[in-house]
Amino acid sequence: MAFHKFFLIQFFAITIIICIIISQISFAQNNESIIDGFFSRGGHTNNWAVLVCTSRFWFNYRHIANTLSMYRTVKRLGIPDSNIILMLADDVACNPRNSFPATVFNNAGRYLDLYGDNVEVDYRGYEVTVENFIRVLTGRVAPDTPRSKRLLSDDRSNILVYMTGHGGNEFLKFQDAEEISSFDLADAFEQMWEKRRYHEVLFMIDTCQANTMYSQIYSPNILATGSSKLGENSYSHHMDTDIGVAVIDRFTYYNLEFLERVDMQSKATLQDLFNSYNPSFIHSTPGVRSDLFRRPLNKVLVTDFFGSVQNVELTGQQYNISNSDIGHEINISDIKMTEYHSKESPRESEKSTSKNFHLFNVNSKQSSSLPQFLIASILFGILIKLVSSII
Amino acid sequence: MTIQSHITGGLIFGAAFTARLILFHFSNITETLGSRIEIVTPVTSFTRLTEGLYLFENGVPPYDGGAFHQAPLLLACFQLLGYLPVIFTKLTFILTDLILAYYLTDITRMKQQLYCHFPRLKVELKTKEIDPWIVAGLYLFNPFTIASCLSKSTIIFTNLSIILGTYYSLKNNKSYGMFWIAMASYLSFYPFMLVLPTILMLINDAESKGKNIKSEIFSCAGLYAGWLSGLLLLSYFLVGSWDFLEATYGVILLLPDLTPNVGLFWYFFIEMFDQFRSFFLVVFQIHAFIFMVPVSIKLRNHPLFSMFLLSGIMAIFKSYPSIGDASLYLAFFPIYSEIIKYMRYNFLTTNIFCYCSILSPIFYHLWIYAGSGNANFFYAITLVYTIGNIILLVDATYAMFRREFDIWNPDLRNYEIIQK
Repeated sequence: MAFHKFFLIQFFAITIIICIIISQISFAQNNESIIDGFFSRGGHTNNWAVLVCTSRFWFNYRHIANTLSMYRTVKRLGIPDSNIILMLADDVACNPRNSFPATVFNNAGRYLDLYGDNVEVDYRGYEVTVENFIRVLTGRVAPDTPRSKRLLSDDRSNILVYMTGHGGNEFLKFQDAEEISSFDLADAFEQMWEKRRYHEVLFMIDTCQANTMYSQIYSPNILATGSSKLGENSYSHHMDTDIGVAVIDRFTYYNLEFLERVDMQSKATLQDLFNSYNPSFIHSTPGVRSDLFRRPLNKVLVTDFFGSVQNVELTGQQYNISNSDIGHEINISDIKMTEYHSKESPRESEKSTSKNFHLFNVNSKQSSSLPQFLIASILFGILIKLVSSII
Repeated sequence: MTIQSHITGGLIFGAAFTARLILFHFSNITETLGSRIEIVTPVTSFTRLTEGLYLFENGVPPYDGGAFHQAPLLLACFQLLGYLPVIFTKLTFILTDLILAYYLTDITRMKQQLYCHFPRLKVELKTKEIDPWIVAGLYLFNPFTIASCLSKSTIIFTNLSIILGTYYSLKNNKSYGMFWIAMASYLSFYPFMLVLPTILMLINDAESKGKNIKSEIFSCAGLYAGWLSGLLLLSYFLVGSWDFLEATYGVILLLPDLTPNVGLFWYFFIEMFDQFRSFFLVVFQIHAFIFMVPVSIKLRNHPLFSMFLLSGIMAIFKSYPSIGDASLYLAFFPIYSEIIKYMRYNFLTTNIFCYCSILSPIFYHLWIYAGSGNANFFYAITLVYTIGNIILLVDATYAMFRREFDIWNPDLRNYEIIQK
C-alpha cells in the first residue's frame, strides 16, 4: 500500500513539474506575439514613385521643373533612386537656350538647383512614350529592360504616380505626338491591381482639366488628385525673367509649399494636404477622388506616399540578448531619451549590453530548464525502477 | 568462475583501459579519427555534438543550425560533463566501452546457461566453451571498437543501450529490458527492429511459468511505447520544442545530409533525380526494416542469435552506418563461437575486413585530397566492405542452422542437405 502511495506522490510531482515548464514556455510565446504585432501594422512595406513629365520643348521648362521638384521631395523624404522611376521628356538643363546651363530651377530666386549631382533620370527624351509608361506601370517590359527602368513593386507597395504636362478632357499629351486617355490609365491601374502590383496608389496630375484624367479609374485603393476640373485651365505660377520662361505651375507650387514643411517624422495627413489647397490661390479648382480609397484621409500620413518611412518602435523594456543579462532588466527610461540623439549615450549603452547580438528571441529559458530537467529525469528513472518491481 | 578467469578478465579490462587512456593522450587522436568518415557520421559525430552543445548553452535552439542531428538527451548528458574537467569526457567513453564489455560477459554466461541443456556435438564435448572474458576481450581489442571509442562517436551509447537491453531481457526483467531498447531506438532510429527479438527473449520462459503470452507481449509493447514517449517528452522539455524530431529522426529517415560513409545510401541519393527520391527512400528504409519479422520468426528459439543477425543487418543497411555499428554485431559473434567450425568463408571475410580497412582511407584520400581518384573508388571499397559483412552474416546463419540440424538429427550429420 505504501508502495502505491509513493507512486502517486511521484506522479503528482511529475505533473507539477510539467505545468511549471509549460508555463515558462507560454511566457516566451507571449513576448513573441507582442513583437509580431509591430510588423503587421500599417499595410505597406515599401514605397515607389513614378514621376512623369510628358512635354518637351523649351517653353515647357516648368513641367520639367515640376517633376524634378517632386523628385527632390520624395528623395528627401526617403524613397531611394532604386524605387523612383523618373521620366523626363526633354532635357532643359542642357538646352542651348538655358542661360544657366546644367541647372533647373523652380523658383525665380534660383535658391535651389534641382538638377544637381544626385539626379537619376530613368526614361529620357524620346523614351517617354505612352507605350513605355503603360509598360512601366503594368510591368510588361521587354526582357532586356534594366532594373532601373522597371517598377518592381509588390502587393505591399505604396506608389505615388505624378504626371504633368499638357492635357485636356480625359487625355494627356505625350511628346506632342500622341496622347494617353483616361481609359488607358484606368485599364493600366486595373492591370496593376490584378497582378497585385500595388497596395495603394496616390495619383497626382497637374495639367489643364486634370480631374478628368482620373474620372475613369475603377480599381480599388487608388486616391487621385488633380489640379483643375473639366473646362478649367491650370496656370503657371511665375516666370523667371532671366530664364525667360515660367518655372513652376501653381498646383505643384502650393503642393511643394506644404511638402517643404513635411519631414520624415511628420504626422501630417493627406487631409491636411488637401485642405491646404486654396482655389483662389491656385486659380483653378483642385479635385480629390477618394471613393476607391479604403482608409479615411485624416488617417493617411503624407509620408505614406511621398516618403519611405520605416516603422521603428521603442519597447519600454530592455531586451535580454544574452545569458549574462539574466534577471538584469534596465528600463529604457533610465537611459535619458533626450540624450539619445547625441553621440555619447549610444556608445555607453552599447558597452553596457553584451557583445553577442542575436537576431531572434534569445532568452535564458534554455539553460535554466536544466535543473528541472534533471529532476524530471531522476523521477523518470525512479518510475522505471518502480515499474520493474511491480511488473 | 575461477580465479584464473577473474585474473584473465582483470588483465583484459586493465589492458583495454590503459590502451585507450594512453591513446587518448596522443594529442590529436580525437580530431584525426573524428574526421574519418568511416568512423563518424553526421548523426554520431562528436564535433557536431560540441557544436549543438555550444548553441544550446548560448540559448540558441540547437537544431536550428542544421549541423546537429543527435538526441537531446546527449545534449543534457554532455552539458553536465562539460562542467567537469576534460578528462571526464574521455573517461566516460572508456568506461562505456568497459561496461559494455562487462555486460557482454554476463550475456555470454547467461547464453551458456540457457544452452547447457541442449545436445552437443562430439567434438564440442572435448573442448570447453568460450570464456566470457575472451568474448569481452575480443570486443575490447577489436580495432573497430578502439577507433570508434577514440573518435568519441556517440554510437557507443546506442551500442551500450542495445547490450543492456539484451542483458535485462535475458534476465527476464521486462521493464529495464524494454527501457534500454527504447533508449537505443530513441538515440538512433534503427534499433526499433530489435524490439521483436527482445520480446521473444522475454516471453521465452513465459510458457513454462504458465503466464499468458498475449498479455506478456502487450505489456512489453506497452512498456516500450511508454518509455519511448517518456524519453521523447523529456527531450521536449529539455529543448523546448518538437523540432528535434525533424532534426534527428527526419535526418535519419529522409537523408538530407549526403556525407559519404561506409553505407550504401549516399552514393545512390547523390545521383538521384528529385522525382524518384521519395520512392527510393521508402525502398531503402523498408529494406532495412523488412528483415525484422522473418528473422525473428525463423530464429524464435534463438532470440540472441536473431539479435546478432539484426544488429548486423542494421550495421549494413542503416542510412548512416559506421564501423562502430559493425563493432556491435561483431561483439555478439563470439558468443556463438560453436558455429565457427561450420562457417565456410572465414578466410575470405577476414581478408575482406583487412583489405577494406586499409584501402578505404587510401581511396578516400585519393578522391578528396589528391584528386586523382573519384567517388567510385571509395564507393567500391564500401561495397566490398558491405559484401564482407553480408558474407559473414549469411555464413553465420548457415552455420547456425546447419549446427542446429546436426545436433537434433545426429543420424543425418554428414549428409548434405539439398532442396528438391
